[in-house]
Amino acid sequence: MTETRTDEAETSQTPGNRAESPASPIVEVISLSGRLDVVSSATLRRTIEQHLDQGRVRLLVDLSVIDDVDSAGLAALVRGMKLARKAGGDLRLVRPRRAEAMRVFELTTFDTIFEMGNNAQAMTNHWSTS
Amino acid sequence: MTATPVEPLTVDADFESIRELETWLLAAAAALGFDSAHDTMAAIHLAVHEVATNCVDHATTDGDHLMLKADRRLIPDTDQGVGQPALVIEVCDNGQNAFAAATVAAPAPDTPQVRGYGLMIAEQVASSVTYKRQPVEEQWCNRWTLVFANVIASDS
Repeated sequence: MTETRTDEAETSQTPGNRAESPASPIVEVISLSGRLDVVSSATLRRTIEQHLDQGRVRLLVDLSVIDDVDSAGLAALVRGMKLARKAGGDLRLVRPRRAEAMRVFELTTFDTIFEMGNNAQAMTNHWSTS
Repeated sequence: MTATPVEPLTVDADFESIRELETWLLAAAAALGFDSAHDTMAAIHLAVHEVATNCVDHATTDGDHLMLKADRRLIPDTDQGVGQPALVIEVCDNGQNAFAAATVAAPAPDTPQVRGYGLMIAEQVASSVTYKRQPVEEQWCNRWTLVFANVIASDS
């Protein structure tokens, strides 16, 4: 497990089998905690870019325990989604449990643009077999 | 009820410093007689945070600062014919650049873009968001005024 830590936000990655070939079908789970804001979103952007550079284009960002998301955090996710889709994959989200963190998606209607679910394991299993 | 005057908050105009806004905002709301524990305060914090982020992003350079002020005002309630208490937050920066709305593309429904959502969020949460560039003490200031009419008074 690779883990990158900032002062408040934590990004941990739970890889499946690493695949170096383009457009790997493996679903890569990026788990976030703390705040996803203008300060911490740079770490997420780098993590997403690293996965895409190595051909891991199915990215599941687990926001279930995140405390807050602002528009800069949202922007990092949107950018990642666009890059992943361009590479033949997608970036999907595990929905935040906290209403405060979910609010930014609702206010911008991104809750209808991202594919979102409630359970990382179920989403991974479903996506891996599709 | 009696509202206690709230001291303005001055912070460096950088992204780390604007994380300090929430503590001040909740204390200001409580001092002005609003229920700072109510769910609406989280949305208000998000709106103020977005405007402050916008100031840092668009208007300021190293060494600039942000000043926040909080006030309680009565605004007309057309349904009930009486004044309704509103929380008013001003966010000012002394950055050299004016906010140029024309350079920020307004988000279009169903078309994801990477920038431009901060002000959209603030405008959805607040009853009104206004911007002025005006001189204050011999220098130019970008002044954002956010009015929140949906805050719950602590004595209600």
